[in-house]
Amino acid sequence: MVFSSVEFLLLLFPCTILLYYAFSFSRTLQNIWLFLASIFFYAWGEPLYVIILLLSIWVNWGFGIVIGNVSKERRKIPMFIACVINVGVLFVFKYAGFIVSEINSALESEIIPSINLSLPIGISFYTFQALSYLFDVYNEKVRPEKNPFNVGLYISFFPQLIAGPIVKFSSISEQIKSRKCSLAKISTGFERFIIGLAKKTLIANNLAVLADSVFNWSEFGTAIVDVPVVTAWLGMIAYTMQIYFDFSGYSDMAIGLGLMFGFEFDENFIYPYYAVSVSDFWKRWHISLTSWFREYVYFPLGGSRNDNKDLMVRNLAIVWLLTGIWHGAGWNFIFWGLWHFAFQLAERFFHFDKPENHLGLMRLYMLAEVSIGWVLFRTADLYQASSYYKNLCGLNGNSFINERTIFLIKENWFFLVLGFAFSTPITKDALSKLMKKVTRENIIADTAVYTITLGSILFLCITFVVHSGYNPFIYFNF
Amino acid sequence: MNKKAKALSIASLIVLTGMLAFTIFNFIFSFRTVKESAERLTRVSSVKKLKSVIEESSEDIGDHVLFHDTFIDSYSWAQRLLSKHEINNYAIIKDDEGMMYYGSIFASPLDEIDAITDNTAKLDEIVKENGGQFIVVLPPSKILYGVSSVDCNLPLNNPNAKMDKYLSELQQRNVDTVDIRIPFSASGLPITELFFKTDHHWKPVGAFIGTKYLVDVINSKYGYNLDETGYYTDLSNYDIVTYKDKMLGTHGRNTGMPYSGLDDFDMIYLKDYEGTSFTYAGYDSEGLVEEREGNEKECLVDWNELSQPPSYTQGVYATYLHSLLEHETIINKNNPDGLRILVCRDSYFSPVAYFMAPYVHEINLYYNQDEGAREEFMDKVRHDNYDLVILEVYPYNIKSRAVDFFEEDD
Repeated sequence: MVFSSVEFLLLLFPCTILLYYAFSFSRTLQNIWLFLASIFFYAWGEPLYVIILLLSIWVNWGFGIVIGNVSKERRKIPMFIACVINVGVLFVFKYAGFIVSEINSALESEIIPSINLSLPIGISFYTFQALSYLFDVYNEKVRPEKNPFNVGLYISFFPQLIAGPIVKFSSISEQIKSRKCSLAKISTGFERFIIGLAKKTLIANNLAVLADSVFNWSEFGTAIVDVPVVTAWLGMIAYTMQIYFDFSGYSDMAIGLGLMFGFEFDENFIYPYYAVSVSDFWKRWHISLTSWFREYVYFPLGGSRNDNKDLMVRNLAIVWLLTGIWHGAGWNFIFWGLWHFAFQLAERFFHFDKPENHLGLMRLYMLAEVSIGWVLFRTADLYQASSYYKNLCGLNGNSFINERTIFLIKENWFFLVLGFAFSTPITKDALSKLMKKVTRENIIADTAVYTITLGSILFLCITFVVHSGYNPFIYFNF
Repeated sequence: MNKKAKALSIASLIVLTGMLAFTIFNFIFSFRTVKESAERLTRVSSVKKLKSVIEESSEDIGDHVLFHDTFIDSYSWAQRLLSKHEINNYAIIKDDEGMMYYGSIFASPLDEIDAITDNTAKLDEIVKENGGQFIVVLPPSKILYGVSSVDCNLPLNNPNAKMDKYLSELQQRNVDTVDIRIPFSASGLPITELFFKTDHHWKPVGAFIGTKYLVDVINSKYGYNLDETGYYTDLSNYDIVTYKDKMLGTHGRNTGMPYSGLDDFDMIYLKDYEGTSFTYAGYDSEGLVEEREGNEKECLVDWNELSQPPSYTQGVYATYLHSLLEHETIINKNNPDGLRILVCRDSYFSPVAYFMAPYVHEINLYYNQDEGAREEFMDKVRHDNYDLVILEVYPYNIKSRAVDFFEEDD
């Protein structure tokens, strides 16, 4: 199930929240109810693979008990086994097919039978959450959970199950047992949810049409479909915005929903396209993932707090390699990770990771680096990526512009403008100032304006959802 | 909490309350659909089928939302305000004249044509072994060279290359064909008079032109004297009643009325219909759905469709015969010695059957997209002696499914 669907918006969500508050007399019942709703939410999209999720919960709960109840010296082996199981399952579903095909390709024969398993939705996310639980128990940040429903709820909680944010167990363990719900949280959460839904249904889905068509045309090759330079740039820009609004929209919905049930998740996106360097970008983009890698990989390796710069470079390279691999099984993802590694390293060595001057120029540089990197991310493989880069530069025998380019601009200018406007905080600040002038901070006027605005946005979102048009979800591939 | 935050908080709660109230009313309204979906899910016997049942349930639940048409209209207004020409990831394209087409960013693949031709040629052999005649009829699409004025830079799904290849390969295999693009191009009529704006179907006048051409080809190829006097293939012997703004076609139902607008629907029927006498029966997989008897106007027309306002559930194209059923039979009681025709077809053939009925004895129609119907059709081909067997495939249905007659044999 996805948030932008009729069955979620008009059935599961209202049912879950109403019964959740009906069970206010018992935190245990509330948690069990949320857990069951989460399993149903997942099973709706993965009726078979829900078993893997349930097994993951049960196995990790069991290992948590074992690891948490033995001495430091004796917990290494169960920890190692638990990690192997978690990573092993992820490897089988996500990477085994790629590894096998690369081996067969290198040996020029099908020595190993090819593996074509479909990827369980959200497996990368919930595997990392499970590992977070085990690491936090291993490091004695938390006590192991005796109640399997609490572990189940943590791993499977539907707001962040299939596309994050990746929540560390130590940051949420207390909230599972003793969180405070309030009308303020419900209202703030719902407002956040509407904003996220709008980002997804009104902006991301519409830009997806432009991005997907251009990238698909590029795959055919110039001999079949000419992709002019301007069209290629349009496609890249559209994808840059699509991925931001899709993913950050989903995070907004997840954070908003969590808040409505009393959970406070950390921010996952802070206007990343307003960053002033690549390093700054990665402090604003998918923060929960970079934070996970920082805490569980980078710091244990030694981080950057050592005199040996080679170790720092090594640690950074490992993190970026793993980041690329986490996103997908393909050389293009590995190269994408290394692309960002190269720039981040350069920024550190030449001290422009925290610029104070020429911020406009720095933002352009950051946007160029990130957008060019997204081409690697979006295309099917390195060959398609190189073909797309050639289209961008007019090196593919492609034209500069054609009638179809004009058609695409006329069809999509509104969403491109919307995307530009809302990918920085400038528009939000401008709208706030406008509100102040219009309503003169009269609470009744403010309330009326906000009600009409939020209500209209929600109505429009539900309209697009009911119409059930194009609704891709990029981060479902993880 | 400052004033702005307080106002936002109150507003959010108001909207949430409104949404929850709507969902409660929606649940009551769509309770039967939700219950049926739940029952369907509990009856599933295998995990493999579960996913498709879930998808089906999602679709059902989405189709039965309270104020569903209002949401579709709102979406439609949004697309209209944005002056969009493309809807639903190029599923539908609208040109500047308001004509709507199937869109696509991909060129239609031609590689499956060989397999489709093989199956068609095999069917031809079987019919001829049983002493019958076999012919393949291809109605045109809206993208008609020399007639359409659509800008070909739009991402249209242009089936002409596929049609050309299919026809060429059939002709090489000596299978008789009828390409209705020919009379359409020769008609001199603009595309707006041949096809609906909001639908992929031809208009009744277009179907009439197609039927006349088909009859001429049948007569010249097989020596039959269908409509010997030319009475029934002369449009001046028909009344044409225009129902203004009555038709909301498939494309219109997918995009919404405010965006697509409405078409007029021309009901064409014989001036001298009172002397005619027919029976009609329509069946789906569960059995008899509709049975009628009487003259042409009583029997071969489903007047229910024209008595309703345009809606998002059904279009008035279904006025001819009935909305598309797996199996339909027309018997002309006034012509017991006339031609017996067996047809494997899609929705394009409904008005053709209607126009042909007065000068043949029997038309037996099977829906080429339904597996059960195709099996029954093949059974008739093998064990019943029809004078003429027709395979009619509209351009966007030129896929292996339409000719999947021999799966069991394989």
